[in-house]
Amino acid sequence: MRHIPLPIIVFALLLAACSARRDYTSRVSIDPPAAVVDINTASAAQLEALPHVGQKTAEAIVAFRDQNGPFRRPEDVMLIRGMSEQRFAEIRPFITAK
Amino acid sequence: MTARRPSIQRYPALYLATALAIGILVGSCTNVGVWPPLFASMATAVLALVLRSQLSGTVFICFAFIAAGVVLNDAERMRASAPDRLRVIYDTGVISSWTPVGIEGVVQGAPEASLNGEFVNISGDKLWHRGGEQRVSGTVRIFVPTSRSGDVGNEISLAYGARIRVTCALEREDEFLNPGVQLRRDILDRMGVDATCTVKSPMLVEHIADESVFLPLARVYAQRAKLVEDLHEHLSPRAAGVMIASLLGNKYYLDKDTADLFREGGTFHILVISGLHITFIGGLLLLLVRRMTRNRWLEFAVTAGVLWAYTLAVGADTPVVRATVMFTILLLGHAVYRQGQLLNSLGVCALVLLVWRPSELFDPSFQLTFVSVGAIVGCAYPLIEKLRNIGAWTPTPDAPFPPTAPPWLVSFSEMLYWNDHSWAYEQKRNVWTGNIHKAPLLGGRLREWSRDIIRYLIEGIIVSAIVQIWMLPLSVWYFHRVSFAGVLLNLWVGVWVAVESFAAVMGILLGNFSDLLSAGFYAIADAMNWVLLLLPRLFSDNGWASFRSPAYHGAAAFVYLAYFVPLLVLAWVIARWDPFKVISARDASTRHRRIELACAAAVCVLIVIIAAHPLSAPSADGRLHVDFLDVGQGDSALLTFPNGETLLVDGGGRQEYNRDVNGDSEGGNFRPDTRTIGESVVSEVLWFKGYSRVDHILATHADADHIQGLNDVAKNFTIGNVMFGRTPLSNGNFAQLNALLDGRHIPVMTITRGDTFQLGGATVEVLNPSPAAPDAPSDNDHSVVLRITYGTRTFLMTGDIEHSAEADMIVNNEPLAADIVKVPHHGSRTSSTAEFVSAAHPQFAVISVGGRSPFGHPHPDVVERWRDAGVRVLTTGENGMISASTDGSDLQMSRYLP
Repeated sequence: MRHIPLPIIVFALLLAACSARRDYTSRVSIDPPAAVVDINTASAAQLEALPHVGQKTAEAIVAFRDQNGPFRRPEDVMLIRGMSEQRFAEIRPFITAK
Repeated sequence: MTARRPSIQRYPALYLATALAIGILVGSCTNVGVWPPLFASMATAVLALVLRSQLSGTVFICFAFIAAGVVLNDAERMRASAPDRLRVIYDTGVISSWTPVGIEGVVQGAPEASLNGEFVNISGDKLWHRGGEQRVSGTVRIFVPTSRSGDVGNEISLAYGARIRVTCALEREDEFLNPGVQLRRDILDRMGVDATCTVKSPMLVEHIADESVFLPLARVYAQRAKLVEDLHEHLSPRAAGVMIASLLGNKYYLDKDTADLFREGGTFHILVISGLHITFIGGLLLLLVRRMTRNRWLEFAVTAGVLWAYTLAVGADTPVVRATVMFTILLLGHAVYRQGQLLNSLGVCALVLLVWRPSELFDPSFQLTFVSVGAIVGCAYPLIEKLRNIGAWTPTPDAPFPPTAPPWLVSFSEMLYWNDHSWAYEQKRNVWTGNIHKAPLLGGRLREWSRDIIRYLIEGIIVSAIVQIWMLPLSVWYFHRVSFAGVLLNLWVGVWVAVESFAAVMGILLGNFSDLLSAGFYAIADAMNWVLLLLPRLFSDNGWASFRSPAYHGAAAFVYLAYFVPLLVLAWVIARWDPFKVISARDASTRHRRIELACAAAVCVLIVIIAAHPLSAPSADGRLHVDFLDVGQGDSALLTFPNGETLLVDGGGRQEYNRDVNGDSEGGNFRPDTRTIGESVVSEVLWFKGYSRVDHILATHADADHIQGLNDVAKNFTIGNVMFGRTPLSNGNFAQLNALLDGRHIPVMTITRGDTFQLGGATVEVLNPSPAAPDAPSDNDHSVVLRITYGTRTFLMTGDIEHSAEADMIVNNEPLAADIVKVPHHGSRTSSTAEFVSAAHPQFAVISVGGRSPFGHPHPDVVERWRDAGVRVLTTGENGMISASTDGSDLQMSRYLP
């Protein structure tokens, strides 16, 4: 009798482990409004019209695009120096990347 | 009781592992390809089979393994150099580090949480670069910071098996190119990682899909993450750091002070899950399982199963895998009723690991493991075993006569191992009776429990001391540390970490039933952590814990190999020693005795040569040397004067310049345990050069990237005196260094404009700053500017002065002309005015700046200005350490590029 519990416990543990499934938190996507700027095609002047984007940032976006190819996602604009999460959150509704 | 001679039949795996290791070593030095050694290996193996004589068979099988080692090494090299490997793509410059790319891959293993984000390893398979997409292979280690905007939607699950796409700049480029400093690429290769990256925001990570995973493993990982969270939440930050590191293998919660205490006492290995943990946990498990079953296969299956689950859960880092492989092999031996030689098991383990990953041979952690385990198994255990035999001796057919060891040793052993009660019991069991004379030390007055404690203590000290003696060369070579206190501290820390772990685990378990009870155990764990650190702190505060020691390089480094020769002979002598062999008085003073004494003396002499390093520092060569260290964004230069005196101008610092995420502290003085420039770069260079003393150090001003590293230098080296231009106690960086210098009674002097002194045969003039009140600020413009003249050659060290200090010196007609100028302020455009450039007008301008400055240094206009003046501009980022040397008339320049 003393020998029985252990294999059963191990088996039960494995069973319990296999029965559960993982779930992921999904990302929240924000629908952009109708008048949005495509950061892959917009000129520096158009980008400058975005809120909280000055001339320097607009030029940096264009330079980045020229040097590294088009942005795959709007979020990639955060790779630009000075573009923090907070700043990105402010311009996110007005940009797209096609 | 006769000691058998060690032979290949006794430890076959040990000899074969040695042969394989030699082969790997040969393979790493040569490049003969896979096929010739493969053919040689097979041919010699066949010859070994055909020629059945013992000697030739042994020789040929060893040759076969040597050739196999060469094959394995080459095969691994080929695997690592596949054209789609990320390391190849970056090493060949197809893509350069810091270029923005997109990388897609699957999360491997468990993500490792830290205080401000998570580290994950992904096995990359797609890469986007400049609009193009390509297939790749290799592992990328990614740091994903916690979202700063606090938006829950920004959080992304980085679970095991998740396929993610990350936009970031991969890093593989070496930095801090100085002699003696570990290269980033070597560190990555050892970790099995092709590149690393720090993602700026979790929003740059896309979760694409979930690949199929082994769910039990996913559960184990999830459970581990929960345990990390539990410990972090319930324990004080310091105790949580120790527990999370030592129980769960995650070192990112350790605080620097605690980690340093462990390092100083030579006990840091207790915080790394490795042999000690696995042996402890495995032994405990085996004890428990054996209470439930006597079926050896079941014992093996359950113990090995749980151990491997634990190994995988804690991230399956190489040291823990190594230890688990070793323990599994021992368990397997137990399961098949083979109480084999431990040394042979060690050999099997080495064989398995070297076949799995031949480059392990060059991993310090592999070497440390095998030397320490080898010392325990091959030297400490046999010695303890013999002492036990001597102490517990009763007449047997194998050993009918009392031990012939020296009387003091017999008494000492009897104190530890002689048990009157068991002898009385033994007498009762037999038909005969007898008296044996025993004279234990302390006259047998020790009670049983106190004798047990003393026995454990002394056995612990023997094991610990032998391990420390064997590890000395590795400890000096890799860590530049000699810790004799480690013999004692290891026992102390080992016991208290075990007690603390027990309390923490009880806290976690009881947390499922009662918060009150679990809080009690967590409080005990916190208290134990305090007790645990008491002794290491006492040793550390008084400077008894350890001392730092430079390493010999070049031909002198053979001393480290030579050290093992007498040690191996002594181990062999211990193995052969038969304390019951009947010997005559004449035998006692035979040649063997003289060899033993000579070896013991040789070990002592070599310990002194290695630890006290009387020959390591370079001798004076009558030249003035100036080495501009590559400390990234920062300044540090070592001046070696013609008479051998040394002056270190600044010590670099503040590595987190390169990080987008700063180590957020959580309350109090908690600092994460990260590498500092002063320790990992400046001190390493000084140790490489063979110094344990720096005659003078100078902080040009109080900016962190100049002064911070001097803290480490002051801790690690003997310092003659310290020079400052200004002493602003209100400045945190200065105050920290000043307090340290005060504690160490290092004399401090203030130097200002107009001071001139002779140093080591050269003339030193101070051109800046002007004299001021004691607590005047020490900003860039108050940097100390030195002009050093030897013969006809002149060097100008300028700190971070900006245009106003430059103008001030020009107005004051300070002599600025020099052959070599350390360009002010890392080539910032706030400095190097046209007037200054023309006044200095050197041959060479050295800019101390990393390959990638977060501030855009050096400014192109500044570089252009120096170049236009006909000056050759050199940056440490591009050239590594830049060295200049003069005998007073010539000028030799060199750079360090590995």
